[in-house]
Amino acid sequence: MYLLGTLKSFRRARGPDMILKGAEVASVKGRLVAGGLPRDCAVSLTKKGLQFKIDGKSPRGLPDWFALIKAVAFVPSDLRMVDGPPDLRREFLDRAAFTLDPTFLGIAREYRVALKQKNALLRDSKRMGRPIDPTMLEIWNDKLVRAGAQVVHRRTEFLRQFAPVFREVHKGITAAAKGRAEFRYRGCVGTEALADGISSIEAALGTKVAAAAAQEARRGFCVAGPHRDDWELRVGGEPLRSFGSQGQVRSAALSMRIGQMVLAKRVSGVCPLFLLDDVSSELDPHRNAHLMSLLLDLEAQVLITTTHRDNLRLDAGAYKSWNVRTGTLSPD
Amino acid sequence: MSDSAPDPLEALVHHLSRLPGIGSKTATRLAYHIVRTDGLAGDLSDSLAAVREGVGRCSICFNVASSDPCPICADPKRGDDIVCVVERTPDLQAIDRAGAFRGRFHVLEGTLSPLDGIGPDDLRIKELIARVAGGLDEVILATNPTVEGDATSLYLARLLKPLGVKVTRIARGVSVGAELEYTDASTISRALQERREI
Repeated sequence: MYLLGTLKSFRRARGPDMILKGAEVASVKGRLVAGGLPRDCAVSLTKKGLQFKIDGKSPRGLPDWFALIKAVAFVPSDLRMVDGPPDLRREFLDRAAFTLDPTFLGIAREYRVALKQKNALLRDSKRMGRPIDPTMLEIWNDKLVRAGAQVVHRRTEFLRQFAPVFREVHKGITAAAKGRAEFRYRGCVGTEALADGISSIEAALGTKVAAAAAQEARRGFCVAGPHRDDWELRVGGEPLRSFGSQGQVRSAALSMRIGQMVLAKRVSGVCPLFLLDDVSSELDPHRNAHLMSLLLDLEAQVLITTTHRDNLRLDAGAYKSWNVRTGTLSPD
Repeated sequence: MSDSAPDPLEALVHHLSRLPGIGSKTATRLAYHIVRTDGLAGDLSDSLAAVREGVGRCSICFNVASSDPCPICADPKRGDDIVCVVERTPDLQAIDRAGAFRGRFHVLEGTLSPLDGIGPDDLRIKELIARVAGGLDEVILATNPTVEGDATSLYLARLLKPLGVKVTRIARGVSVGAELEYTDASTISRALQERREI
């Protein structure tokens, strides 16, 4: 279900690693109801790559797939979004921003291509020991800055919309929250330019890229741009990444995932499917009970895996259960 | 190791599978079809020989043609003051088929792409500059609306504008006859950004 919802591995495995040893193909099929109609979704993986189909036909692209299948998962490794390396935080931001605005995918792809092209230009020039054609550098910088400014703008716009929703959820989950929770975007553009809008972001990013020219030529790759940006979560003015306890980090990561669901429902009217991998063991009874009541209020379809039914803190009639034994599912 | 010639059918499958979009299965199917169909192998080999002997690049615009200059460059009824720059010959043919442009063309033979090791010297840019220097009123940049196509147009614009020629870029947005309902989000977003007053 995680693969259907995200087209990625639950364990961050590469595509071929998800295929059973000795098999040529791995496939997952699911049926969902969207707009009152049943839709069949299928993902198949081969060594060549991944294919996805809706009602037996290939959709035009990823936006069509993700417009139909919306899923949010909370897994233990999500804690790393708060205290781990920046690429995990960028991934959360980009995925969540895309859920709200499908055009973000095209912008992010444009930025990635411009970045790869500029990196190739810098790398070749360094390897061959020849100066870079200034006009070539100028045009790739231009593409990088235009697309990059859009990426930064959409990311910060997402955080602006997301912050109040996060605060609402976080307050409920952390009974003894100390101080206001805030997101701070950190990177290639200063706070003032971020607040001023797209033209200011573009101008600030342009200045930053121009200033990095000598360093980039020396190192042979791009050092300025949103591909190296980060964001941090502060509670009561302190960055959670450095000062948060394990419990605070866990509550923050869970609040981010629930917040993603709440915001998606407010914007599109449809609540994504929520996948919880053994979360109950991670939370204390109070937080766990609050989480369950939040999920019931959201009227989301939720799938939880747990090794201890008591962890659920739900009335027996509030859920259906299945047993998983040696990879086989059977009704409880 | 044996130096004997390869099996002709296997060689045909091998050569067909070098074509874009043709995998080994399709190549095998095509090869058997060629062998089974009366006269097809002969017709194909005659056509291939004729293409090898008689088709090349136009020395003015680099269109693929069987004459030099190509029919478009040789046509006296076309305007000499405006040139439309395209990536490849199929793009030239698409614009020419539309019938809305009666000027000349210039085929770049690709786009700038450092990832593929393609720089300005690998494209027909010097030749374009020489044509502009010979006296042109306008250059229309009709490279594809991809990151590489846009970057190539941007590069050409920087080079050509100081020469005093008018440089324009083809518009982009919703296709004529298309329904908005089926248009992708990026195209709609770009069409809205580049809207114009009527």
